[in-house]
Formats: sequence, C-alpha cells, structure tokens
Amino acid sequence: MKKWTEHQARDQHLLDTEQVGAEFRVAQSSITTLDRTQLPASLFDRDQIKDDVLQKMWCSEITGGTHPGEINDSRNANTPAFEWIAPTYQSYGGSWETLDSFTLTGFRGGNLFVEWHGNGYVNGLCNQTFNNAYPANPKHLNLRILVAGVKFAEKMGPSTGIHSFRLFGTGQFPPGDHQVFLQWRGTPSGPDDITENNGGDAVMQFHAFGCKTLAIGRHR
Amino acid sequence: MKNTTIEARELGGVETPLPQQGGNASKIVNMTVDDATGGWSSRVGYERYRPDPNDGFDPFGSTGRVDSLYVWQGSAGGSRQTIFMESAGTLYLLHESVTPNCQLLSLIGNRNVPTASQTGSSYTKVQNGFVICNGEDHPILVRPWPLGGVSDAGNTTNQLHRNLGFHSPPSAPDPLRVLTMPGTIGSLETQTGNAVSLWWPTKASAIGQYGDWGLGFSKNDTTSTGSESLYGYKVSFISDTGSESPLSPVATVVWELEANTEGFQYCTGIRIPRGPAGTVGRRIYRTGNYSSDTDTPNSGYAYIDDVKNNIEELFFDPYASNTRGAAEPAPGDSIPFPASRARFAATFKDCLFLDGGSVEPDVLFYSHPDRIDQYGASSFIRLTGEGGGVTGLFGHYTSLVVMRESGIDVVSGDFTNGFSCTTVSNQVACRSAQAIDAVPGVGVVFLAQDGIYGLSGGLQGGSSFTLTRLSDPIEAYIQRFTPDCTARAVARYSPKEKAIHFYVAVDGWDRPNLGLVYHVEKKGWSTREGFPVGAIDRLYGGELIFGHNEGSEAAGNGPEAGLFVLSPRRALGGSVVADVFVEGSAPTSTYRSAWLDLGDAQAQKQVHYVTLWVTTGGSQDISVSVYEDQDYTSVSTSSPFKIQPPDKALQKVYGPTTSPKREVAVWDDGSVWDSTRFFPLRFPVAHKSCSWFAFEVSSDKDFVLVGWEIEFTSRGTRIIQGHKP
Repeated sequence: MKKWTEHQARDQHLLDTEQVGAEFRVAQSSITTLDRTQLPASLFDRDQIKDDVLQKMWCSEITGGTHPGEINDSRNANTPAFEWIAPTYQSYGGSWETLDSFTLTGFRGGNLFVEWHGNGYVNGLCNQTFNNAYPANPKHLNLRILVAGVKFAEKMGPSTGIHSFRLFGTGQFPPGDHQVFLQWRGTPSGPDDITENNGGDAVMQFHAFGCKTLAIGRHR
Repeated sequence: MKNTTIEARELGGVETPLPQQGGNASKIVNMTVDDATGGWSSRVGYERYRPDPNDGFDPFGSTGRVDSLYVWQGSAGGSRQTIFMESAGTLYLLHESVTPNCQLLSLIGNRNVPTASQTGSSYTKVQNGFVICNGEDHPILVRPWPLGGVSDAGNTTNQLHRNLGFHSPPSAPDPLRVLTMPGTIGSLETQTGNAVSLWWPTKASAIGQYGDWGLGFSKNDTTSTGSESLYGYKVSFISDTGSESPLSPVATVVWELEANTEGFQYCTGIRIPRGPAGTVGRRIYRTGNYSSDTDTPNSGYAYIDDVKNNIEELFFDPYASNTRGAAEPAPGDSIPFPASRARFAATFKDCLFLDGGSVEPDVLFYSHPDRIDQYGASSFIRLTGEGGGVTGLFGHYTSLVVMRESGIDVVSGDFTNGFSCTTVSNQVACRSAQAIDAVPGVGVVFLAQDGIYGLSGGLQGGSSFTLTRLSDPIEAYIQRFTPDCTARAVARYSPKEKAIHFYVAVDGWDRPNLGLVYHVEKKGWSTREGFPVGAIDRLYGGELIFGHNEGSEAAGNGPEAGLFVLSPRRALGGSVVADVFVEGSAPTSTYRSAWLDLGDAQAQKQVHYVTLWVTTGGSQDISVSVYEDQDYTSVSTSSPFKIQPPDKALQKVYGPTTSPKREVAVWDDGSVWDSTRFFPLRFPVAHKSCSWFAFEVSSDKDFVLVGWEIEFTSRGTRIIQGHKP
C-alpha cells in the first residue's frame, strides 16, 4: 500500500527516533505487503528472475510406469492375440485405479492447472447386453484427477469404442510437493454382459493409451 | 509583588464566541492533534498523490478544477483501490498499474460541469462497482475491474460503464409462422422465410419420449383444417445485476392442423430482441393454448425459459404448457428507469435509493433488493411536509438519512415490509451533499446552512435521533461562508487523523478555500488555510486525498494540478519550475490563546511570562506575540528561543556540516538518536496593563504545544468608567 510522509526530517530538527521510526515503519509496511500485482510492469526482466519463481510447468511426453501412457494395473495378459493387453472383467474388480501419479516438486503455492489427455477405449459389446435381453447397459471409462488427495477434475469418460479425451482443471493450492493421481474406473459388468469369447478367453474391456500430462503452477 | 500563575494543562479547540474558556483558543490554524501528547502539533501539509520528484504533476498536468473525487475499494486488503475524479465534465480513472507513469484514462466525457452553487457528483458503492449521479446526466453504473494492462486499458474503458436501469421495455418478440405437417408426410417444399416447422412425435411407436415436447393440438380428425393453437409471448431483459426489465408487449402465434392429421406437436420459433448494455440474458414468458378450439384455454403468461446471453436472436420453444414455471411478474414489478436525472444515490437495506432529481425533487425511488436496475411502479416515497427537495442521501445504521432543502428526514423499514419516512428536523437543512460523513462516537456529521451538526441515535429499540450542533465554538467562521456556494463544500473523516475535515467556500469565493477540522479526540475545532481542496475522499490507509480546486486554471507556469494527499509533509504542495518540481513552503501554523481575563476582566493586569509546555523540536526558533484587550494588532513579540530544553545540554539536531553549530549531529561521531522531551519554555513578555490578554505562537517550524502557563501581577487598578461623549 502506498504511503506518504509520516514525519519529515527537517533542517535543525531533533534527531528524533520517532521521526525515523515512523518513516521506517511505513516503508517496511509497504515493502512487506507488496505482492506481485502491485509491482510495476517493468520492474525486472527475465534475467533477474530465478527459474520457477513465478510459474513452473511439469509436462510428460508420455506418462506412467512400465507401459508408459497406458493402464498398467489390472492388465490381463490372456486376452486374444489380436486384442490389447488391457483390463478385462476377469482382471479388473472395480473401483478407482491409478494410471499414473507424479509429484509437483517445488510448487510454491497459488493457482494450479493440471491437464491429462490421451485415448480411451471401451468395448462396445457390453453396451447392449447379449441378445439384447436386458436394457442397454453402457460402459464408461470414468476418469479423474486427484491433487493432494483432493478430487480436482472428473469426467464420465469415453464409452463405446476409442475416443480421445482431455481432462483438466484449475484450483488454488498451498505450497508443497503435491502428488497428482490420474485415475480411471470402469463401469462394472451387468447381467448377461459379454466378458469372454467363444474360446473362453477374457475379452478386453477398458484401455487407455497415449496418455500425456501437463501441469502449470502459477505462484502468488 | 509576587506573580500569580494560571495554567492550562490540556488545550481545547477553537472557541470564537466571547467570553472564552481559558483552555480554548481564538485561533488554531494548520495544526493537528499530536498522538503522543494530545497537544496541538504543527506537522500538517499536503503532498502530491504521486510523490516521485521526477513526475511533476503527471499525469494531471493539464487537469483543472477537480469537481468530484471517489476512491473505489474493489477488494479486501486495498489491492483493488481505484481512484476516479471529474474535471471539466470528464470522468477520469487513474490507472496506476502502468509504467513509467500512471495514466489518467478518460471514461465518460461531456458530463455536466457543476456550477458554483451545484454540488459535485455523488458516488455510491454497489455490487462490484459504483453508481455516479450528478442531477443532469443519466446515472451511470461503473464497474472498474478488471481493466486491461498497459497496452489495452485505454481500449477497454468503454466496457467499464453503462447507464443504470432499463430505459424502456423490450420490443415485442417476433414469432415465426408454424408450418404444420401435411396430410401426406413428405418434404415441406412450400416452406418460406419467417416460418418454422419443428415438430415432436406424439405416438409411442415413433419415439421413446413421445409427447414430451411440443405445443398445441396433435390431432385434427375432421375433414377440414382446424384445431387452432394460439399462444402469446412476452420477453424481458435480465441485466448483469440480476435485475429484470419491464415486460415487452405481447406477440402471438397461431396455427391450425390440416385435415385428418395427427401424431405431431409443434415447436414455435420466435425472434427475440437484444437488450441494452449490461444485458446478460432474456427471459421468455408464454401463455397456454387459449384458442377457442381448446376446452381449457389458458391465457396467463408464465415463465418458460431464459436465453442466457444477449447474442442469439432466434429462440425455439418446445415446452408443453404444463411444464411452464411461475406466473409472469406483475406489470408494476419493473418499470422503465424512473430517476434519469437523479442527483444522489445511497444503498440502504440492499436497495439503491435515488432521488427524482430536478424533475421530481421530493421523490425517492428505490430498487428491488440487490437488483439495482429494477424499479417497481410503487417503489417510491413522496416526501411530505415543508422539507422541500432532496439535497443529499446518506445510509446510516438502520436508517437512511435524507437531507432536504429545509429539513432532515430518515427512511426506515425494508423492502418487504415497506419503507417509511419520518421527519427529524424542520429547522436544520443540509444542502452540501458532499459534506456528509460518519464519525465514530458522533454519528452522521454534516454541513448545514447554519453550521455543522452531528446526527446520532436511531429509530429502533426505543432510541431517538439527536441533532447536536458541533460548530457553536466556531460561529465566527460559519458566518464567513459564501451562502450560495455551500453546495460545493466537501468533507471526509480521516481515521488516521481521527478528525473530519470540511472544506468550504468562504469570503465570497466560489469554491472551497477554508478548512474546518473537528478533532474527535479533543472534541474541538481547528482550521486549515492554504489547502486548495476542491473534492476529497479517503484512501484505504485512512489518509485523505483531495483534488485541487483550481489546477491548471491557476495563473503562472506549472501550477499545482491533480490529486494530493493531506499528510504531515511540511509543505503546501509545490510547483513545477523549469520542468522541475519544487516543493512548496511549509504552512504557517498559528495558535492564539483565548482572550484571558485572568480572574477579573475589570482588574488591570500585567503579564510577565508566558510559558509554553512543548516537546522538543530542535534548534528552530519560536517566539510569542502578545495581544491586549481584543486588539488584533500585536503589542510586542518576545525574543525567539530554540525549542530545546532550557538549562540543559542541547539535543542533537540535523543540520549542514558547512557551518556546524555545536548541537549539529555528526555521523558516527558519538551522535545518537534522541527522543523528544516535554518541558516548559518560558518567554518573558512586555506590555502595558490590560483587561484581556492573549498570546500567539505562529511559525512554519515544527512544534507541539501541550499546555501553557501565564505569570502576571495585578496592582488592583480597575477600569473606572468609559469615555465620556
């Protein structure tokens, strides 16, 4: 906050501690309470700013474990040869599973943007139950992002075939090396769903591939 | 003969009526209350709002008289403090987020320039912005934030403001004709412009959600065209304050089914009008089918949908009549803006109050709660009695104070239960709308035609309003007002100084040229001279900011212009000389004691010593002048003394090293910071015997006067009689 004269030092005036104190106090107050929005636009240039002071970006070309960009857990290696090695209803028991996680090392507090994009697949066979005996029962590859254990963004996700998806959100977070979890959840199978082929092999049900992430911290 | 001593340990404020209380003063000019001692301090002055020595008066160099000033606080913490001012009919925004110099952005031009007898514009804080009124131009709603950065701020100013309220109802919507299905289903090759054929099946075999949407009859089993469907539409605008405009005129659409057709209902299309600036949506109302062919005609209008933008012009209506919402608002729920010449505004109980201006000066209009664009047909109060037109509004605790030409009313109540108006005074009249502010412990303090008053209390809990005349002690100054120019007076309370400043036109001037300051701590007055305050407001930090009363209109080169801050800076502004800013000289501060009869006015007395209780200020000199028997010419002036402790070593002072005095501090040479000391400074004075005695200290130096003592003798000589004719 801008301050004006509190106690002016004048010729032949006392070396008054109060005079110095009053001016110093308000100057300190002004400096202490300066935030980025109050700095003049050209106060400093890029060379004077240490890396990551005002913002930091975390980005992955392709993300996640042994099979980067894909679902790593609940993979069923026994799917037929022409299918993806992907979660089947035999290998996936439900609930949220983590596709990948990463740490926002050096996040200084402020506004956070996290984006997860990739391709999702859901076997369309199960959308309409075997012989259409039951009402339609569409399946989704539900997606969500957790930051520091808190739900940050969620969407219903792809259904029936392959779709690209993009899931992103923003929020205010305190400083800290927060962990980001990219999670998926498949809709459980319904009655009379097709979960194996004629040969008795498990049929691929859910898959995600080509997943990439981007996070931007804009610090206060 | 032994001297008699009287003392004043605690000094009061100015008291002009005679005889005076001993501790009060005849004059206290350019002084304020010292926080440390409670005495009178000369540390007053004013400095530029932008104190950079390189700036001159930028960006105000060509700014003339500032007619109004407003500091808008847009966010907690003062981080969105934006300053607005009016000069020469233009409303400016001071955009400070740009370098190297801040910009004075012109927001609205060609506004009324107040005459000498007109008050400046009034500013009223509302949701996310403020309303500005001046009694001549339409009230404007300004939303100052967000404003663009360095390059685009100048281009976005037009989006910061708009007229308040709705000028008129929307024009009627324009329904498109409905083309119905022919008996033999095929393509509608005959469809032309301004027609629509959107249908929804009503048969279960056609679609799962059969019959869920669509209007009108679905079947005509006669052999001729019939089964008429008739619907009416109205539309209203929704503004960004949540207000709803008056409803548009009615538009109807009608269609008949062809012979022997069934299975389809129709979705009508209507063209809807776009609203004025500030419109964020359109609301659509519709009747049920009220054609003569229906057994249950329903011509009542009810809500069907909002178009949540001000862009789209075509709306398709698929809603069955039984899915409509609440009934339309009553016709009187929203009317065209009734106060387009409002002079004053105030928020009270979530409603925006506006006066009728010059057109209806004794009417108060009020908006719906928190919908400041929306005014009901009966949302007004006609002020009664002899009070005259509205001259100012001020929301205070549970009441809205209404200043009138010759009286004061208060409005109480709320929107739901109704507002009522009560007269507080028929004698006191405030015609200075910009000279009203709330003062802690005093209430609403305002400048009236005959003085300055405080209004305290309320109408709730058995309380009542109390009017207190605060300016009794400064009656001589009140008499100096330029009577017709009191409307130009301005006032604001400074929490930092704990004082309310009034600046008033006196001695025939047409603009404020004298400051009257009421100090809450002392419950007393001082005056300010040489402070060119044209308009005043309060900054986030509690400082008072003012706009110059002349600016660049003043004579000479590089005169003061723009905005200044009242501060302890020991300068009266400055000027630009040869492109360089030169600070003005320090104001002269004067304390003149009351006329003292020293016990008995009839007895002749001779004062020998005046002792000032001061705090040390350094090696600057002050002297005491002596006055006798109400004569305004000084009879003698004492020798000057340094404001240093007598009979003690001198305290260290700042000073030039070229010709050092012994007390000038030398850095790193044993000089230490010191603190002020409180001590008596005794001045021998010389004068003849008198009935009434007064002394005066007048200096542009810094001094703090806490109290005084006077030592005198009286031989008992008395006044015998007056002059013979």
